Amino acid sequence: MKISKYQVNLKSLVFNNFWLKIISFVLAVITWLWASGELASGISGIRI
Amino acid sequence: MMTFELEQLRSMLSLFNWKSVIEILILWFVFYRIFIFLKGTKAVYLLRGIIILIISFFVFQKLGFHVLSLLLTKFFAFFLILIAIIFQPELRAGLIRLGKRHFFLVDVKKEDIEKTIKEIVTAVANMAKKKIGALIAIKRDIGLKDFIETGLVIDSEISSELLENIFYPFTPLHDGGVVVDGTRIVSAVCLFPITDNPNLEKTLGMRHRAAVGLSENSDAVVIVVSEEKGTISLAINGQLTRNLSPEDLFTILKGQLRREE
Repeated sequence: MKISKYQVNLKSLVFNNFWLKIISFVLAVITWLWASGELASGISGIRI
Repeated sequence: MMTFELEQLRSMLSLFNWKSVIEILILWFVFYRIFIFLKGTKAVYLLRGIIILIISFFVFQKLGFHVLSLLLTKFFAFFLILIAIIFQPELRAGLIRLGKRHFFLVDVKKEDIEKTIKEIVTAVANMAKKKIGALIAIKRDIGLKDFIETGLVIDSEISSELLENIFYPFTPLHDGGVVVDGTRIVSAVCLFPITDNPNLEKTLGMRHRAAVGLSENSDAVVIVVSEEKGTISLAINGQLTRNLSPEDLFTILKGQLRREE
């Protein structure tokens, strides 16, 4: 089966630095959850 | 406690809408670009340490280790200053890249750029054949005044003969780097900063390290001819491409110094 140029580009877009993409996504979600948690509870700063 | 956390999660999710998706995507992009930027630099090791500390902080909080959490909280207070100090070279390089324009030289004509490339490639090819070491930096958008001032100002029209003459062994100007700006050789015997990239081959000499160092600190295109092997290398944005043929060099330089119309 012949692979088109677009398929190759899509493959490299997904799999190039795959783990960096996963880690940065997880970090982005965690950061968003933390920030929205702070917004929801109305508490700013770190609680101990 | 569990009910409280569920409540908190519910209220967080109540904030979730299409704007949240955009926010997460922007955060993802920013984190990804930071990781890509730091990849291959010494800052990676420091970043790993910082991530371990952040994870430890959350674990200590969850387990109720109040003293350790407090100590880490105090540490985070100095965090920003610490980051600015530790990542100073990376921050500088990043800001330089962020603020740079994508033009070569507004006042240099397309034919002049081609002439400069031809003269440089001819000189480099001849020097590589004779195994004469050379270090040539071509200025782009970011000024190289700091480095030009470390050398001897020449300010002469570029020619392959002059370049070869400068680097000819045992002549007074052969050590150090040459800075080319447009169609002129601005300065010779210049001192370029040495890179401290730990991922570079240990066998690389000071000339190659200076080329990478200058390309990390500016957007200059730096050409190196090895004295030992007669090979041609090119440093751009901290990346060294080795064993280039004169034809490869010509093509890459043409692409890199292309004037945007």
